[in-house]
Parts: sequence; structure tokens; C-alpha cells
Amino acid sequence: MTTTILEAKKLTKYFDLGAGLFRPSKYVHAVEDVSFELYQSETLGIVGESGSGKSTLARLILGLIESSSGNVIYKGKDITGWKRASIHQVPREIQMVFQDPYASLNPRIKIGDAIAEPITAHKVIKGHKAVRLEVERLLELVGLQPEMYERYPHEFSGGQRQRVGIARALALRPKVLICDEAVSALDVSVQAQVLNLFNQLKKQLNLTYIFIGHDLSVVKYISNRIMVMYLGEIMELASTKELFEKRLHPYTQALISAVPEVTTKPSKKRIILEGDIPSPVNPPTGCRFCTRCFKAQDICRKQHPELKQVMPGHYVRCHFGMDEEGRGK
Amino acid sequence: MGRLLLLRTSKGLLTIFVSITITFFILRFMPADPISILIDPKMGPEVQAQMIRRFGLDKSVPEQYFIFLKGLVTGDLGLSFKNQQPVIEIIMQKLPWTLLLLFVVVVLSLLVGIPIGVLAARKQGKFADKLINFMVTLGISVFLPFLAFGFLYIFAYYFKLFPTGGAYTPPPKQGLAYYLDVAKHAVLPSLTLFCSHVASVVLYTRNSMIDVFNEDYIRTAYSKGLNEPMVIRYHALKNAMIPTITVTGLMIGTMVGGAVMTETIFAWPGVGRLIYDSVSAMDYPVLQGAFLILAVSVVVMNIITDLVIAWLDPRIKLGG
Amino acid sequence: MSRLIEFKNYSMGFRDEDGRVHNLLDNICFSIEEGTAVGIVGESGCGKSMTSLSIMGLLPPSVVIQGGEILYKGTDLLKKSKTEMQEIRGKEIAMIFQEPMTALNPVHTIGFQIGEALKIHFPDTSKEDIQKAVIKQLELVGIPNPEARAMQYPHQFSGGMRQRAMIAMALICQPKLLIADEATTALDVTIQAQVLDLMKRLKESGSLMVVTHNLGVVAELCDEVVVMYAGRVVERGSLEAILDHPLHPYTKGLMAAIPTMTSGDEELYTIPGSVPNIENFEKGCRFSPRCEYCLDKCKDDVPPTKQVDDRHYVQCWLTFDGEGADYDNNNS
Repeated sequence: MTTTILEAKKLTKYFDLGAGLFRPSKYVHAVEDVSFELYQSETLGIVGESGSGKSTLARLILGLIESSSGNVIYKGKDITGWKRASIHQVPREIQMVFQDPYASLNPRIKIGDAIAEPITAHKVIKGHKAVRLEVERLLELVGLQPEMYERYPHEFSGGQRQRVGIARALALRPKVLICDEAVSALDVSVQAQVLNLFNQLKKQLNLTYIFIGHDLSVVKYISNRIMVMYLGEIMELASTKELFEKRLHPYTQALISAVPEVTTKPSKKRIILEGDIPSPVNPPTGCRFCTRCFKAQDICRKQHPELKQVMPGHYVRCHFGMDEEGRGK
Repeated sequence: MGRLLLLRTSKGLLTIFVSITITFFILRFMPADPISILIDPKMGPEVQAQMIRRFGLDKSVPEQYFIFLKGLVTGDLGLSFKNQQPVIEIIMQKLPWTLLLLFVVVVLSLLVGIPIGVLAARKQGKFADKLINFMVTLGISVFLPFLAFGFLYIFAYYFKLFPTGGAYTPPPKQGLAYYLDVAKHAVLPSLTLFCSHVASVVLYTRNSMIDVFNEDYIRTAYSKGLNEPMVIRYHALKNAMIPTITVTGLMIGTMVGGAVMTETIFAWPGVGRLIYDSVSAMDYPVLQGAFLILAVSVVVMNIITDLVIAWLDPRIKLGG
Repeated sequence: MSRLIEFKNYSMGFRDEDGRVHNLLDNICFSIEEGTAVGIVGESGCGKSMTSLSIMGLLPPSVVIQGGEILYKGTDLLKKSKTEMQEIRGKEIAMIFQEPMTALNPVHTIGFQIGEALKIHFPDTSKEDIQKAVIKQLELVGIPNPEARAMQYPHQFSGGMRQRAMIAMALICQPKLLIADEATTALDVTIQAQVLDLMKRLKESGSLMVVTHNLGVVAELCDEVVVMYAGRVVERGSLEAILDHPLHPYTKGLMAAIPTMTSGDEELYTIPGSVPNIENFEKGCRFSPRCEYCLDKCKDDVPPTKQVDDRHYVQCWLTFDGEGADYDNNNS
């Protein structure tokens, strides 16, 4: 039985580019009508290319930016825009790990103090000594030595800094961790360590992840379910296994086939999409993917397809995405 | 493009309006009485009253302000308190001299400053760069009148190479001899202003060149087989010129209002000297006119600078 | 096949502020045959970019060359004068870089920047001919509407289009060797697929050196692979040899640590520790602190480079099947 821990309901975010003196306002359609449920103890992967809105979505869930419309429900409570309402209640249970651990750490603050910051700010634990013990526990939890408390960020390697970033995110004992490109900046040999750490922490602390990435093989490895986004919309959402087996949406097909594989086997016939990703300021009418879709028909350019459930738990936004046979005829 | 110009011009007009308004009221509220300077106590009371009426000083300050604005629209800046000449005439007499000085200084600063800045950037951290940096710091931090007196002492008094002041030796000579005479008089004031301005040109050119040298496209240019002079000429200079152009624009704008101290020390008959003289004479109409010229030139130079930068950098969309 | 590029015991390092020299590339040996594509793979700081910049003669000023040769068609590039290198750059050997956003000059048109190399290396070419060549190049790399595109500036191009323009620029003089330094790393997956496809099509026209951290890109494009770690070539051989029969513990670990499209959800293999800095390279084998097969001598002595197959070399103290006598560095 799966319980829903977090739910996005028709989340939409337009960024106002501002009106000029002689022109009407322009908007970036960053996230449009995104609804999904996050189940307790799962890892939901979000993949997409630039302009897909995956990072904006993360910030909307965290309440770091205000949504244009739609709601975020956490454990049955509406937490949309919590930032203004009540800083001390829900949000500490949702934390974020960022891509660049170096940029998110102040170079003049000892890493121990950086991890202690949220603890003291939220008064989770009181007393200097108790906080220090807690930080040391966190350091050990993420595979660092407690003695590293006194060190500064520049003394750490990229992988260690990302561990510090994880420790800081874990400081408030969150239930949900949003990882935004959390391993993208790491060396290949270090990336595996951090991925394993994520999996290990998930079991140990019963965490739920939203794992955002552009590297399909990484997202596939770590996720139970995957959501494919394109220009602010969900294109396909299914369990990892089903998504990779069925690949109902043409964009998913192209995305999967575009990944260069480490193999000497003669490469499968690759789907190469024409053209560039359109700007989210003027997304194409009809289906957002129609300008690059290799199966686009007239209807795709005219009518905007809805996200439909084609199989239990498998959602596709395509006029022809009903089943494998029915596509693109 | 046209739209941007329109926008910039209207913003500029607003700036000018605000600045002259402030000037007007500051002058009115100064604790000094221009009437006492304007009026000769030997004049009869009727003559005195007539004078006061003529200059509008019998009216209230807001009334004077509206009269001033009305005159402004028709191009009438009023009469000088001191010699009762139209202000516009006085300024038009002085402006060419300031422009002459300005032109010489700006052209020389750019011609000399840019190559030196480029050299310093190429030799970054080496002896030549350190020497140039030292000179630049000196040039920026030196107190201009001090420099002016130094030059006067050395070149005019001690070596007697150049005249001590003025723009020409009266009575004015004819033809070529006149131009040579003016040139000789212009040397010392130009040199003084040049010293400080060339320093900022060198500084900005050097720093932006160093930034540009670290850009990826410079490496791309080398990878195509360009040699260093070509890389500098085609790929670095144009990009690095943008900050230099900006300071030069600002410099020109403020210099039109006159290099007050330099012009005064060298008795150069420009706008700067005019401001100095008018302040001591409490000649409000002339001061207002001079500040108007200053505001206009700053605004115009800003627009020109923007246009030049937009021409240099295609990423800046005109009219966007 | 004749040898286009040959690294012979090439070593270089960096001089720090105190004047001490830290060695990075140590006795680099490998070669690029005419008409082949060689991939240089490694993680950050392994010296793969310095290897490509060494060929181009575009090393940063703090670099000290410590020995060896880089032969291009039999003559040493390191001994060439500035002007001789300018003759080679862009004409014989061309390079494309990682950041398509910053590698193009924002103040010149794409057409100008593509035609520039032609103008320098073939000064007699008329303006019309350069223009024609530019448009032909843009067509070749798949940029639609090339006449209009040539007049545009880089900021009017998308990332993928810029990288295509970079390729057009590099290929305009038909160089013998094209070096692609992380050329697709900054691109989106579907755009990367387009550019890889383009590079695969163009690779017939000359030799290709692909510098990347992405083994997938190497598998896509290359015939031979050079694996670098902390400034040394730890293993090199044909693509099949490296991907299907890796021998060096680092190569093996690297392959096992990458989640692939076919890997399941079992725990990933990890190489412990992290990539070393140039200041704390090990005296012996530089991988030894992270190697699970590390022997005593690994820590103190630089391992020998052994030939295990026709063109398969490993630098390691371990013993491998098919291993011949220690491969002599001087006659590769």
C-alpha cells in the first residue's frame, strides 16, 4: 500500500519578463499545470533538458518561489507559499540538496558550523555541546569523519563537499529530500559513491526523494518512478521499468535513444530530433513537442494534448500515446 | 533604434529640467544678496528700482522661476548681472575654447592611453606593467591644481617655453600665426588635464583587456592560427573598449562644464573660468546658463556613449 | 597507416608562485594514426585538456615542459617557432572547445569568425570565395538558412547551433586533425545526439581526437581509447580492448562505477577516495591510494607500461595474461 506524502496540484509558474514601454508583458512558461503524487519512501526521478522547468518545480515545492497557481499538499496540509505563513511548521521536513556544493557553502564558515546553522536556527536542539554532537553524528552518517567539523570548504574535494551538503540538508531530519542535479558536478568515480550514499540513507532514514537530473542513466539507476518533462509540462510519468520498456511518448523515446552508451555493440538506430528546444517564452501551440516530434501530425500542431492515464500509474501526454501499436499512425 | 533614442531623449530632458531647477533654487536661497553687487550705491533710487525690475528681482522666487523657465523655452537665458550681456552670448563665446581643450585632451588621452593600457595588460605582472600602474596611480591621485602650478613653474617660469596664461597673446595675430599662438597657449592646460584623464583611460583599458584575455574566445582565436597582434586587434580591443568608452563619455560630459580649476589657473577663457568668475560675482543668470550647458552635455554624452557601445556590442539591442 | 601525432615520453608541469614545479603529465606516450578517432578519457585534473593544448601549443604561461616530444608528421611540435605553430593551428590541426557560449566572440558575426581562419591561412582567397566557403561549411554542419545565419551574431544562436558553428569554423581549412575538448558536455542530451551524429559523419575527412570524461561519447565516436589518471596514461588500446577487456584497476573501476541504461538497481561499484590534486600525487603509482590491488612497490615505484596485446598497453605492476616483456617506452 502506497501512501502519498506530497502532492502537486496543477502547479503553474510564469516568470514575468516585465513589460516594455511599448510592448505587452512577456512570460516564461516555466512550469505549466504540473500534477503528481509523491509516494512515501519512493524516489521520483525528474528528467528534462534546459527549459523543461524541472528546477523551477523543485523551488515551487520548497516554497522558495511563489507559484502562479496550483497547490502543494504535504501530508494532507496545503503548504503552498508556506514561507509567508508559518516558517516553523512543515517545511523543515522537506529539504534540498543543490548541484554545486561549493557555491552553496560559505568559504569562511567551518563546515561543522555550516551544518549546525539550520539546527540552531530552528532550535531543534539546544545547547552548544548537544548541537556539536548532533553535527558529528551527521558527519558520520554521510561518511565523513567527525573531526572534519573544524575544516573549511576549500579543504574538501567535490565529493566530500557534496556529502557536507547532504549532511546539512539532513540536519533538520527531513522526510523528503529534493536533489537538484546533486551528482552532476561530480567526477564519475565519485558520483557512484554519492549515489550509493543516497540509496543507503534512504533505507536508513526512511527518506523519500525527488531526484532531478539531466543524465538519464543516473536518474534511471536511482529512481522508482520517472517523470519526463519538456518545456514546463509533464510528457510521461511511469514506473522506471515501465517507462523504459514501453516508452510511449515520442520524446521519451528520443531522450532514451540519445544517451551515448558505454558499449562496443553496434549502436541501435538512434532517433535524432531535429532543431532546437523552443524557448519557454513562446512555447509552440498545440503539443509543446510538436516542433521536434518525428511523429507529429496536424492535430498535434492544433490541439494541446492532455496528460492521460493509459495504464495504471502510467501517464502520457500525446495524441497517439495510447499504446505501443496505436502510436503515430 | 528610433524608439530608444526617443526614450533616452525624454529621460535626458527630464534630467536637465531637474538639474536646472535645483540649480535655480540653490542660487536663490544662498545667503548673499546679488542686488548689492548689481547696484552701484551712487545710482539714484529710481535707477536702482529700474535695474531691479529689469532683472526681475522685485518678483517673488516662484515668479522668477517661471519667468526663467519661459525664457528657457524661447532660448533666452536672461542677462548677466555683471555686464548685462545676454547669457547665451557669453556662453557661446566661452564654449569653443572649452571644446578646443576638451577635444585635444580626449583625442590625446585615447591615442596614448589605449596602447599603454594594452601594453600593460600584455605584460601583466611584469616590470612594464608595474611601472605603468605606478604612473597611473600617480596620475589619478595627484591634485590637479598642484600639477598645474608645477607645470607653470617648470615650463612657463623656469624654462620659459610656454606662456603662463590666456588663450592667445593680445592683440590676436592673423592667419597661421594666430593658430600657432593658440596652440602654444593650449599646451600647458591640455597637458594638465591629459595627465589625469590618460590615467583613467590606461587603467580601464588595462583591466578590461586582462579580463578579455582570459575569455574563451581569445583561446579560440589563437587556435585558428591568429598571431598576438591580430588577436588583440580583431578579438580583444573591440570587446575591451566598452568600459573605456563609458569613462571617456562621462569625462567629456563633465569637462564641457569646464575644468574649473585648470582653466582658472591658466586663465583659459572657457566655461570653467566663466563659472569661477560668475561665482565670485554672484552672477546668477550666467551660472544657471553654465550649469544648463553642463547638464545638457552630460545627457548628450550619455546618449552618444550608449549608441557607441550598442554599435560595438551587438548583444545590446537598440529599441529593445 | 601513417602516424599523424605521436607523444613520446612527454612530460610537463606547472610552476607555482614559489617557483617550484609540480609535474602533471608524466611520460605520456600514445599516437594518433591518420584517419582514426582517438578518445582521451579521464576525470577532472587528469591532464586530458593539457594534453590537447600541448598539441596546439596553447599552454598557459605557468606551464613548464619537462621533456619528451610531440611529433606531428614526424617533426617535433615543441621545437617549432611561434610563427610555425601559427601556420599549423587552424590549418593542420584545429580545435573545438567545451563552452559554446563563451568560445565565440560576441562582437563579430558567425560568418566572420568562420571565415577568419581561411583569411589567415590562405590570404589570396577573395572575399567572395571566403563567403562561399563559409556558407558551404554552415550547410555541411546542418545549419539551415546559412546565408542569413552567417550574418548573425553568436547570441542569436542556440547552444547546439553555436557548437555546430564552432565545428564549421574548425573544419574550414580542412585540417588533418580535429581536437574536440569536451565538445558536447555542455549540451542537452538530444542536442548532444545531434552534434555526435554530425561528428560521426565528419570524422571520415580526417583524424579526430576526442577529449572527454564521458565514456559513452568515446564509445560512440572512437576507434582507440587512451585512459588517463592523474597525469599518466594508465591504459590504452582499441575501443573493444578498453571497453570489453579493461585491465587496469582504474579503468575497470571506472566502467563499473557508471550507471548505464542497462544496469539494474544493485549497489554501484565505487572507487574509494577522490581524484588527487597535483600537489599530492603519489610517488609511485598515482592510483595506488585508491587501488584495491595495491602492492608495496606500487606506492614507491612508477609502474612499467606493459604491452598485453597488439595495441593494448597497461601501466601497472599487476601481471596480466598475454603480457609481453616490459614495453620499452622509446619504441612505441
